[in-house]
Amino acid sequence: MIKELVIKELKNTLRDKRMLLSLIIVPLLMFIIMGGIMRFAMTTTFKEALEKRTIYVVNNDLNKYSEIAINYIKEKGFEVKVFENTDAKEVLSEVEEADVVIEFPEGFSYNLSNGLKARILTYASIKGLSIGGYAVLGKVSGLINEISAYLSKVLVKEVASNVNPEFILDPIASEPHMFISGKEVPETFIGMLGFFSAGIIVAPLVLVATTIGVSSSMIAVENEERTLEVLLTLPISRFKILLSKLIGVAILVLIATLSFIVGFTFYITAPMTAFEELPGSEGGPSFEPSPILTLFDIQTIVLTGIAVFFTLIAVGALGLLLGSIAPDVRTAQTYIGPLSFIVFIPGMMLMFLDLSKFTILAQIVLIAISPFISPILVFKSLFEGIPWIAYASLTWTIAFTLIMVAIAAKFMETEKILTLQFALRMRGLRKKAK
Amino acid sequence: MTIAVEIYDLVKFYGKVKALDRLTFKVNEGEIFGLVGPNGAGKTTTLRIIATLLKPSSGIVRVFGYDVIEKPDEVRKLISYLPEEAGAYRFLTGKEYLEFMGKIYHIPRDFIEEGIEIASLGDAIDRQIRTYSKGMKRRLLVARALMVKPRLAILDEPTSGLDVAHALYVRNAIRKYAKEYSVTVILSSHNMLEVEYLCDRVALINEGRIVDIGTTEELIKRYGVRNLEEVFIKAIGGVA
Repeated sequence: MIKELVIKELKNTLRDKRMLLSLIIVPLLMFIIMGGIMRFAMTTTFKEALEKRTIYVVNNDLNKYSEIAINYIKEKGFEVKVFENTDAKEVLSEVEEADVVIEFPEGFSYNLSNGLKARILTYASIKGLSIGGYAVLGKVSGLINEISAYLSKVLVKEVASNVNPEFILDPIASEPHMFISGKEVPETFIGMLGFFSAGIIVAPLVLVATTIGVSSSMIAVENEERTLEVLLTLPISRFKILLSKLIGVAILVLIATLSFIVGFTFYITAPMTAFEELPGSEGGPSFEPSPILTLFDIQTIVLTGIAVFFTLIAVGALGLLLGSIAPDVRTAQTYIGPLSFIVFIPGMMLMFLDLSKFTILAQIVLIAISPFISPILVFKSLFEGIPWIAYASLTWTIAFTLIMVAIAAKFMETEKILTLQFALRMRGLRKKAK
Repeated sequence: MTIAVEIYDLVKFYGKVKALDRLTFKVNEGEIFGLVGPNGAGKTTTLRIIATLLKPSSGIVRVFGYDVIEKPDEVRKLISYLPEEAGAYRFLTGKEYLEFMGKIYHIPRDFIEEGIEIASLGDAIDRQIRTYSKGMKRRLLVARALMVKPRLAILDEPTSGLDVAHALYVRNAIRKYAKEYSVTVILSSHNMLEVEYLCDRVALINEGRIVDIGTTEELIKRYGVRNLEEVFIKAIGGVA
């Protein structure tokens, strides 16, 4: 019997283009399109910056070290156009295709020969506000750093020909080790940690918001389409009706989550893999999720999974309750709006702060509202080595879930599910009359 | 004779508003019983209470001996309810809707085929319900209510929104099912012609109270008029 009801829920929901769009197509396409655009933009701008770029150089030094530097740029594979004894700003304004100009000022070689700091000036003209424009300037700065390092080696060689300039310039090899709650973070993952922390917070928040949205619509649509009265007189217990709705919500949320994960994974990996294709580049960071798993023990994964399950059931039941007092889907969506504050404000706080930074009172408040953010709280507290918060949050979330399901089941049993809207309407009319 | 519906001293309040005031009547098994009254008389409230959707403020309502308060699950196994402004799941096809209902009531396949026949939607039965006109939707819902062959069919304005031909078709279907399968029917209607044609007995209801009850012939005779419409006007009063 429940199977038939669940199938009906899924058919009636997934055939609705509005639901299909918000549940599956938007999260999937939004991230894929955004990731694709970023990948395309980054690849083309950096390729252009590195492959075809002509470097415009104004040489007002005309001496040994500026010549060495210009030859070095040529050896790097760039086309170099040199202007001598000219104002770099004029070159920038008069040569249309010149958007960056490097100037070796007068005295450049003299300074280096006499142990003084020498300057290289860069002039950039940005035509638009695209990331590409800034990226080009960044890459030119990188080139100047390389010129500086190269000239250092030349100078060291000239001063002490028997010394390895690589050793003098870079005598220390850095080997970072990072530990979280006593567990070592894999080296490849250190740079990704901030990004991962944000993801671990945002994903459950999106999941909770989607669940409330879907579940509130499920009953509200019965009101809107006037199918609720017939449904409630069918020879099925009200608890089974509630259960079938919750199972339907769980399946739809699972589908939405999968779609979100596929889209999000593409989104975060696409721009990074763009670096790998660049010529002359040593490659940017690449996304390797596998070392992440070594950070978590089985207890963290299992308890977070349990927290996800109960949170979704709790917010699903709450959504069904809110949906039952709404005459239509649009009204149901307005009822769930304020709930987002309870979910997103602590969620965002947890993104930026460690739990140990919260006072005991704030930690208790977080536990109190944790049925909405339990997966985040359980995961973070176990990860940060404050397990009592995880256990307290999980216990309260399970209790809250049972309470919510009981209230929803009781509400379905009573005639309030049909008469509450009538009562609310009458109250509204009375207020208006006053 | 088995009593299908027994109602004693039924009172229903919505807040301070008294919708039903000591309503009492009985419906016999196999009978088509009509509730007739002006808007707001309490017809829909009465039908909703019998259908276990609303709870009485006081009084007793039994369906085939089962109290609607104490044994609502047993009552729901015996009834099929058609609300006045009912809808159907927009994104199911007509056929899927009837099949879904058939599975809920555990009825055999040929009952569902009968439902498809009653709905008389032709090829449109395979189209999604959102494409149906009001009349098509109503026929589907009437078919749903009758095909399960309940012991008691509760029909609130069954021909509401139907044109003359389809209304006649639905009326014939109700009559046929009631007689062939001994389905007891309790219905409300504003159409006196429909009530005269369909109902074995009629209750006139006004301001939550039964004004009179009897067969059409008895009522016409009692009020000394030509038809049920005139009975209604004489018993309840016309529009001022």
